[in-house]
Amino acid sequence: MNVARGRRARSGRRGLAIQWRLLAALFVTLLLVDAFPLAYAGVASLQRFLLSGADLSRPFVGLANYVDMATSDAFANAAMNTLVLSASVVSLETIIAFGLAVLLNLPALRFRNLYLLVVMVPLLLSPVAVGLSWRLILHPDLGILNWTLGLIGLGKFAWLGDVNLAMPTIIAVDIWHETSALILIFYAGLSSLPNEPLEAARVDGASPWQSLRHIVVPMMVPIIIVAILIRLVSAVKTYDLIYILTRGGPGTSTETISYLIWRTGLAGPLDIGQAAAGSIILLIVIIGLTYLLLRATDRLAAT
Amino acid sequence: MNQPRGARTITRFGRSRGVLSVGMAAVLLAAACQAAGSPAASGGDKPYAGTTLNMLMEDLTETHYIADLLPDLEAKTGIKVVFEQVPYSNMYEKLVPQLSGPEKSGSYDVVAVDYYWPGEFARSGWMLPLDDRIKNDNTDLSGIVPAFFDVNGKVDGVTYYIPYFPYPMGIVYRKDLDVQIPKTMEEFVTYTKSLKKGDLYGAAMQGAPTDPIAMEWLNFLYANGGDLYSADLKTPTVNNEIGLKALNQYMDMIDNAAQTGAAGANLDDASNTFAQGRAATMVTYITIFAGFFQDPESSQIVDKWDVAPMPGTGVGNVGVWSFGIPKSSKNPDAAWEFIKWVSERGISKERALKGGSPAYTDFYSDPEILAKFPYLTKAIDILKAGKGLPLITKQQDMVATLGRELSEAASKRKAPQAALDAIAAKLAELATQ
Repeated sequence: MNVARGRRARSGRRGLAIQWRLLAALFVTLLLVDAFPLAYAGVASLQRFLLSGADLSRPFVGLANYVDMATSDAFANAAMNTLVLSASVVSLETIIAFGLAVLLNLPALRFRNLYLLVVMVPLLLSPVAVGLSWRLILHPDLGILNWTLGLIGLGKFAWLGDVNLAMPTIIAVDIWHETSALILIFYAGLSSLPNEPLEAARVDGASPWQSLRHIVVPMMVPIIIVAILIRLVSAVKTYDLIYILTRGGPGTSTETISYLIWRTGLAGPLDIGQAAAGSIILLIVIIGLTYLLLRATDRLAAT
Repeated sequence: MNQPRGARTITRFGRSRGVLSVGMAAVLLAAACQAAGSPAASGGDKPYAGTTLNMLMEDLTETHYIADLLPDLEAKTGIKVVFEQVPYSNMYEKLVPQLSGPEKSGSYDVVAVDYYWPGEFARSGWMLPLDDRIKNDNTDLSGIVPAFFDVNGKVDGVTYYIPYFPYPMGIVYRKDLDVQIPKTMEEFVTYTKSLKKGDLYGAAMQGAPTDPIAMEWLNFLYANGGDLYSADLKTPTVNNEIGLKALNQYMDMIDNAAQTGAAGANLDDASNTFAQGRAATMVTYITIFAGFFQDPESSQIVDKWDVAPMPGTGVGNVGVWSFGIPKSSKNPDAAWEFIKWVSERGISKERALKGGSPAYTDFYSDPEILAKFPYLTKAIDILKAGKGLPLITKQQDMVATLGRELSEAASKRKAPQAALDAIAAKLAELATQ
C-alpha cells in the first residue's frame, strides 16, 4: 500500500512538475504577447506621449488622456456609431444566420455541401478584399449595383457618399461578410443536437414550427449566446471595413471608436497617449460586455 | 551560430584544400565583405556594389518612371534599390513608426516626403541635414525651381530634402466639348452647374475625407484670395468671409455640379469619372494624370482634354515630393548617391520624357519635352502662381483636421461657418506646437 502510494505520489509530483513547465511556457508566451503590450498601453495612456514634434518628452499626466478622450465630441460620435453598427450587425446577422442554418440542417436538403461551400466563401476573404470589391460594386456611376437598379428604373444612389446611406451600407456589407461564421457555428450546433426530444415532439403531434420554437431554440441558447459574444466583440472593434469603404465619412458619420483610436494615434496628431487611453476604454467596454453575456449564459444554464 | 553563408564556405574549403584554398578563402572573404555593403572594401568604379536601398514609394506614375531607370543607377554605382509601392493613404502611417525609431534602425534608407510632412519630420529630429553633402559634392541643384525648396526642401534654413516631383493643382477640362473656363470663381461654379446635363457632370469632384477634400478645397480657398493662416503663421484666417465663400462655393458644386456620391468620392473615383468622359471639368493634379488620361486602355478622353489655372486669383494648391535621408537609415551615404542620381538633370529629363512632372524650370520650355507633352507650357504658369501649405510642424494633423471638418460641412452634418471655426480653433492650437 505504502509503496503504491509512494509511487503515485512520485508520479503525481512528476506530473505536477510537467504541468507547471507546460503552463510556464504558456504563461511566458501570454506575458509577452498580451500582458506586456497591455501594460505598455496602460502606462502610455497616463503619459503625454506624442510621436512627433519638438518636445518628445513623456511626462505623466494622470488621467488627463482619459478625460480628454472620453469627453470629446469625436468620442461621443464614435461611440454612438459603434453602438449602432454593433447592435445592427449582431442582431441581423444572428437572425439571418440562424434561419439559414436551420434551412441547411433540413434532413431532406439536397446539395447541402454545395450550399455550405457557397456560404463559406465570404468567410475566406479578408476584410480589405471585401471592402475594395464592394467599393467597386457600390460606385455610383461605374458600379454594378446602381447599373442593375437602373435596369428597373431606379435612380442612382450614393451608397457611401450620402450621409444617410453610408452607415446602412456598411452594415449591409458587414452582414454579407460576417454572417457566414455564425451560420457555421449554428449549423454545427444544430447538427449536434440530440434527436430524441424532436422525435418525441413529432410523435406528440408538434408541428415543425412548434418543434423549432419550443425545443430547438431553447437547446441552442448557450451556443447562440457564445456566438453573439464572439461576434459582438469583433463588431465593437470594427475598423478595417470603415478604413476601406468610407474613411469614417462622409464627415465623421461612420467613424467608430477603433477608427478614432487609429486616427488619433497614427493619422494626424500622433497622440499615442490619448490613443492608448481610447484603447483601454474600449477594452474595458469589451470586458464588461463579455461579463454580462457570460452571466446571462450562467443564468440560463441555471434555469 | 549565425555565421554568414560566405564565411561557412571559407571554413570548409580551408580545411580540405590547403594553400590553394587559403587564396580562395581570401577571395570569398572579400566577396563576403562586399555583400555586407562595405564600400571601402571593394573600391573600383562601383563603390556601393552590393548595397541595397529600401524605399517606401507611392504607387503612381512618377514612381514607375524612376523604377524603369534604376538599372542606370546600379550600373553607375552598384546600388540596388527596392521600392515598396503602396497607396498614398498608407504612406504616412508606415513611415512614422520607422522614422521615430532609433538611429540606423529603420527599414527605409531614403524617404519620399510629401509636402505636408517636411516640418514635422525635420523638427522631430528624424531627418539628416543635407547642406554639408551638397557643399562637399558640389551638387548642382540650381536648375530646380527655387520655390520648391521653400515648400518642401528647407526647414528653418536647413536643407533636409531635395525636390524631385512637383504636382500643381488646376483644372483639367474637356476641350472637345468646347468648355471655356471662366474668369471668376463665381462664374466657374455657375458654369459647371450649367454643364451638368444627362450623363455628363459639370465637375468630377473628390469630397471624401480626409486628404481628397482637403486638397481639392484648398484650390477654392486660394482662388478666392484666402489662406489658412496670416503671413506670420500665428493667426488662422481660414474662417473669415473668404473662407466661408470658398466653402459655400465648394458645397454648391458638390451638390449641383458634381457626380452622384461626390461627397464620398476619393481621387481615384473622381479621376475615373473624368477619364470615362463623364465629367466636363475636374480640379486635380494636372501633371500627374497626363499619362492616365492619355492612356487609351484606361481613358475615353485621349487628346480631348486640356489644363487651365484656377479662376479668380489663378492660385492653385501646389504640392512637391522630395527625397530625404532619415536618421534611421542604415545606408545614408548610398542614400545620398541615390538622391543625387535621381535629381540630376539627365535622369530628371528622362523622367520628364516619360511623362513625369519636371522639377527643373527650363524643362517646361524644352522643345523635346514639349513635343510630347505640350500642356506643360501652361503647367509652368500654374506652378509659378501656386501656393504650398503653411510650414507649421504638424502639417499632417492640419490636413487631417481640414479634411474631416470640410467633409462634415459638405455632408451637411455641420454648418459651414461652424466647420471653419472648428478648423481655425485647431490651427490656432497647431501654430503653437
